Amino acid sequence: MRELTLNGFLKKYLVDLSGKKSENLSNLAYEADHNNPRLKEPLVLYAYFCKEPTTVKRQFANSSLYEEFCLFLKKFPKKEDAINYLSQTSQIDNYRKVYKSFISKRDRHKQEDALKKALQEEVLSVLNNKKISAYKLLKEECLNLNKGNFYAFLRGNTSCITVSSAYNVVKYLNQL
Amino acid sequence: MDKKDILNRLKHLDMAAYTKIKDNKRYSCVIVGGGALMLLGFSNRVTYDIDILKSDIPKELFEIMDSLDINTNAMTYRINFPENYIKRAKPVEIETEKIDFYTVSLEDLIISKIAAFREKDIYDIMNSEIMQSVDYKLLNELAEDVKYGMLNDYDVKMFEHGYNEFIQKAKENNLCVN
Repeated sequence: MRELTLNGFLKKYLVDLSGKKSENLSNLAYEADHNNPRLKEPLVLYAYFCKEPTTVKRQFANSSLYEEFCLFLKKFPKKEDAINYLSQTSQIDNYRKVYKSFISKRDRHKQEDALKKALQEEVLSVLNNKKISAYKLLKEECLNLNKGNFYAFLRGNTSCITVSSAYNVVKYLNQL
Repeated sequence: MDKKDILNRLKHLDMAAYTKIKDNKRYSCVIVGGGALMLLGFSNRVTYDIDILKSDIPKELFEIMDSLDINTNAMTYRINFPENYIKRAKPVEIETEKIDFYTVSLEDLIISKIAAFREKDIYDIMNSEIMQSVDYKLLNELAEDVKYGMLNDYDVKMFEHGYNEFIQKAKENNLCVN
């Protein structure tokens, strides 16, 4: 699966917030000014990262976002500097919140892998401590485990099992 | 993002807690903001982050919460909520082993958003879907409670202005607010 990009995230976020598929900046700016103030920061970021500044300034001309955009552009003439600011600042401002949501969404599969890894370690630990064989688990119908995938999981391949399957194994073992 | 995504992330946090926290305790967590509105079934408000007002979740899980975009910053806005909001908190319908999740009630949420004095918070609640679901008798009581706790007359007047706007809009939608 392709990794989520910031541009793709911002585009989707605007659609979700506005309830519309339009990418027309002046329409979205109007919505931000009059009906939906939560659009403001995601829209400025989208304009900054995804569009040409001259186009943006023209489309934001009648909106309060014009000044906001210009300030952002002046503060971060280079996109790398904006990314550094959004990534590293400790202040929880609204631009930072949008970027944090992007990172969280982008890295969701890493979070799942980390959880599966922790569950794998738990399974191995309990199997060892309680002197239970993996074969016994495979025989349990309620766990519905695939033999090849489960052994691969025990060897450290977390892609072979879902989080819920791994979790069900841990819960089952802890009840024994 | 939809309600299912929020529930998946809460479940993920609970599973991590089950794996990492080896005690017999159950912990609890109260969700507010846009996440609460989505969990209460209101679809107009979209949010990607989940705001927590009150939680006794151990600090070993803070990093995981951060990675799941579950934030505890809302705790600084505790003063905007009526005193005994916890009594009206609604359990989130999700099967968990370590953490009980709740949302604040709709009425507590509305009061907190009016008390925040921010345009975007007022926008969140000014819609007919929410207004149709409110217990207005309870809302009035909670409004008095929050006003009593405010620090100065200016804040009280600001709150009353926002509250009256909300009630007026509800009346315009032919909703019984008395």
